[in-house]
Amino acid sequence: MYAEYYGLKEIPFGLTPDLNYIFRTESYLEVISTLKYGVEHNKGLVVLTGEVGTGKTTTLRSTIQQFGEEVLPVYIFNPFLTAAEFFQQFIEGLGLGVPQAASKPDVLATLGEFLALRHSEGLRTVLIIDEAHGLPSPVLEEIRLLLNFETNSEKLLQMILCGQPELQAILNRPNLRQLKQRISLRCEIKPLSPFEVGKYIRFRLKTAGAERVDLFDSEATALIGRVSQGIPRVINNICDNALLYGYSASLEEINRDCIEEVIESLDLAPTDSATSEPVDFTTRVRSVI
Amino acid sequence: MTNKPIKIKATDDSDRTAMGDYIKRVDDTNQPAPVIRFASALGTQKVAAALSDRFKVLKSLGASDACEFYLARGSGNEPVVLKVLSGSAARDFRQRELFRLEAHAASRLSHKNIVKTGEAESVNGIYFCVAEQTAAAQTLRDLLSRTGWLDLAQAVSIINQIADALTYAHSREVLHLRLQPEKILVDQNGVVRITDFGIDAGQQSGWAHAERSRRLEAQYQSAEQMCGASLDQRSDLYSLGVLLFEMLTDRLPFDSEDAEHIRRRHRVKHAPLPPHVLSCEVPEAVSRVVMGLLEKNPNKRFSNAKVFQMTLNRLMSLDADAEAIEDDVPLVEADVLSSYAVDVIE
Repeated sequence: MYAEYYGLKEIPFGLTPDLNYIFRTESYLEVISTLKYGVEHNKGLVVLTGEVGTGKTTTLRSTIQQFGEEVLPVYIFNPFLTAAEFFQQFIEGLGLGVPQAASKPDVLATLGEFLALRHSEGLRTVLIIDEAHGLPSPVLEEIRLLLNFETNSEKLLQMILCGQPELQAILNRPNLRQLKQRISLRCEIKPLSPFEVGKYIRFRLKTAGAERVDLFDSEATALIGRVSQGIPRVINNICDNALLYGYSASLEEINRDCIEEVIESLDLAPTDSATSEPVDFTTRVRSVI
Repeated sequence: MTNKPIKIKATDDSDRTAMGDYIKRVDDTNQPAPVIRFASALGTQKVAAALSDRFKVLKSLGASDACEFYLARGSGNEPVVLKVLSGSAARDFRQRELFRLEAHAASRLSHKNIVKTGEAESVNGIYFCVAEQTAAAQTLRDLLSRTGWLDLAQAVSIINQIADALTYAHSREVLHLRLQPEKILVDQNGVVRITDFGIDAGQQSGWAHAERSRRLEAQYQSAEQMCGASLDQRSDLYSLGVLLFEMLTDRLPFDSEDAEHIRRRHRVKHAPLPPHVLSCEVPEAVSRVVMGLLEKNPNKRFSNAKVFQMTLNRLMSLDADAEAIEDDVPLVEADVLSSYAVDVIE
């Protein structure tokens, strides 16, 4: 609807992951480098954490896309599984024809042979679990046992656990200390810095075909950075709504007033952390600017 | 006509008001030119009165650094731009001397990609030089601000013209040392003209080199400019690399709102992330050429603008991969991303 009005070929601030819209920050590149290093050097377990909306899933998909043909990735995005369901998904992801009625020892034996064969041929196998902060303890225990597939010197199965920051706390539980000890690399996707927010908005507008990438003025951008705290999903939400608002109000540029309207309508006004009371939003925002 | 005053906040902010801006406004007769009022400003009336024997001052075009700019007509009614040393700067011997050296260096240049400027003069206590009035153009800053990164062909066209101008100026022993997008004018036909040349390359002008470097935004300063080392044409090549980097990515090699943070990163970081890592639209071979300009060690940079230009154009005409130009590109790490990964993990 607003795309034509602003000279865009497509919607720039969609909420679903789109690899064409990956904004390569240092944080993103560090994470990609760490994940690839972990897999390519048979490091075993790598843990990736990041706040909600920072782009963890997009980053995982991007990483998978960058793996060479020698890497077989299995991506599990729903962690709310029983241990049996988890194994079933994993085995299916590997393309192993194991009968559903097969016993667990049979499944593990088949899996072990498969991983060893791939390893002997110089191939790698990676299990990637998104939303890992939601994994039940029994599945985490199975994951630990899967990491026991190894030669004298190298892991046969590489694993990436990805989740929100509480994943770190979960891995600190005493009953999971054995799993924690197996973590070889950790990395974190950080929110965008205030400085990066403007670049991010411009990047997405340009990728969407905009002839003008300065649609959001500097005060609007600063306010978006403040309210979103650099979380890309929140930025997208604000910007998408702002363009819609701007279109309906026939605005050529998105200014601070427009962003304030959007923030109110989305109920994104920051609250005072001490009292949980809504702050005098306008005053606070202006003081920031 | 009453012009609305504009407040100038600080030296650093006024630094951003570039010489290029005023030239753009020349043909924009519908827009009243801003009157810049600050403590040391001379003002249109005073300048007009002092120079009335030779020029008819039409209006103020703005201010930058220690100078004010005016649109005027000469004795033959030809339009010119007057660059005038502002009041407080004119009372400072070093500023007057810098103004004279800059104008002298610029007056030695006559090139299609450089705005012509005359020698410094003094009339009735006003220190000024005459610059040509150029056709309507926008600064590269305005262009990038509006459009974001440029496509490869447009970026190469612009950088080639800047490199032409640098090759010419350097051959005449004139450095720029303040190359940033505000100093580059691009007209509707894509023709580039550089403003605000320059300074003599001789090492006896070291203090002037340092002063011009100080006025360059930190993002565009070479490592040697930052640390106050002696400078030569290779510092301009570093800034040229930053310009190309920015045109290709809409990002900067080292960027922050805090100049000290940029300096720190210059000292700490091994190298900036190459353009092709930040933008998949940049061919890796072109990225390597850019990184060849951004080497921190001047000895590892391209030795002059011509060599850079030949390498880039050979690459563009070949449309080949990195191996085709390997011999021409300065020593740049073969796999920057891999080394970056190791840096991160270590």
